[in-house]
Amino acid sequence: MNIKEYIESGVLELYLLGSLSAEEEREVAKLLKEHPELQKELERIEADLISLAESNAPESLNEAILVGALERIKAGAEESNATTTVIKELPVAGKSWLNYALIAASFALLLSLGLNVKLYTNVQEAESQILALQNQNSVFAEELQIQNTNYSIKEKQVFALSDPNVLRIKLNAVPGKEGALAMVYWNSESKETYISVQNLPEPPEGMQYQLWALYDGAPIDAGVFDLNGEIQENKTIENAQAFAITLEEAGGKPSPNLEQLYVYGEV
Amino acid sequence: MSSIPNIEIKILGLFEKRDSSAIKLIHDAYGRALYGVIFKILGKAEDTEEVLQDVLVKIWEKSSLYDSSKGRLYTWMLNIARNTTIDKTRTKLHKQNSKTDSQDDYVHLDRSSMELKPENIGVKDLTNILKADQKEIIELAYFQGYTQQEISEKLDIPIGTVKTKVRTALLFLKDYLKNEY
Repeated sequence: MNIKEYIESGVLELYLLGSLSAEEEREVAKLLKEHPELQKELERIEADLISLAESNAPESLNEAILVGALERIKAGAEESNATTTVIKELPVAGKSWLNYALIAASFALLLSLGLNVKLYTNVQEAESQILALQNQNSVFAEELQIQNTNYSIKEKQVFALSDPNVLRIKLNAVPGKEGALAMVYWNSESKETYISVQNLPEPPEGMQYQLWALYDGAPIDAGVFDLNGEIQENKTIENAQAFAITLEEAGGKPSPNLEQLYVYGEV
Repeated sequence: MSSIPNIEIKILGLFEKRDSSAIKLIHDAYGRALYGVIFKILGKAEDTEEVLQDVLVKIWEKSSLYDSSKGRLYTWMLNIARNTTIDKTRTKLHKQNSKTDSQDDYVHLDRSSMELKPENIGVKDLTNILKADQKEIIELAYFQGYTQQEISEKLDIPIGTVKTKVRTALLFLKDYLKNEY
């Protein structure tokens, strides 16, 4: 990479000002380690930025600022040890006074312990609620994902079926299978084939319906399908003069069992 | 300014030992710059010292969170100074206007608070030597803590231009400083 161009892009200035995107920030941090000349330029720019800010400050700062800050830092450090020191440092001003003070301190301590327990429980409850909500949220997200997928499948189907090249073929029941009925939608251009079952008996365990195209007297496997009440896409079929459905062993067969023929329709 | 890295190493060493004399070193090396940043955001000297003290205490309280592999110490302190000062103005403005205004109005500061006022005299403010458009971009990026994305949207210029404009403005200041001081 060209270091000079990189410097001239102004990226180091914005890195120092904290204005870059997180991604760019990581990139600059990485390059700074690899290129000492970038580090040098960065320090120069930082010095200029500091001078610019200092032009808005008096020649010397009020000493009280630092003194006060250090006092507050010291007080803050002592505060965290406060609970242990309070009881130790009680003044011994007569026995009864001390007793009262100790009793009062014990009550205060008990009260504080009680409050701590309550606060801790509250925090725990809040955390478990957050967890529950997060879980719920991810369940919703998953459901939405499924809905979206379903929706886009449906949308694709509507689009596919509204194509003017789609032929609707009604497959009627053959003798002995009265009542069976299915529709095939076959696109003679794109060769896509869809099956929509109006009525077929539930197949026995281990069996599946298989769709066949017939062309010049030969059956062509168009794939197996389940009865799920939806329009399903089957294998693409190049040429067809008729379609038929037979009941076959699950997974389908290379050639149809004509004794188990249910419906048949010509294109 | 080549001594800055050495000071940084010393400060980080003190951070690690939880030695609060780190704050004295920060005060001496960066105190006036942080004062200038706070002053620019507040637009006045009043309260600047108080906020600077808050900032020094906060730097100490957050010192264990600073990660030198992610950015410069000055950048990290600059962020603390900007956030503390903006919070301060927000609560102050909020107190004054709580009846009529929503807090959203104060996400970024009102430019009118930058006016020159009598108590500000004596401060040089080098941004004044910049051209108007350079000055505006420096005010946003440096003192108001806008991201390049926000500046790009506000001024309606590409992000690449934001970068080069900031650089050009600072180079102009560098030349000025070389000649003047």
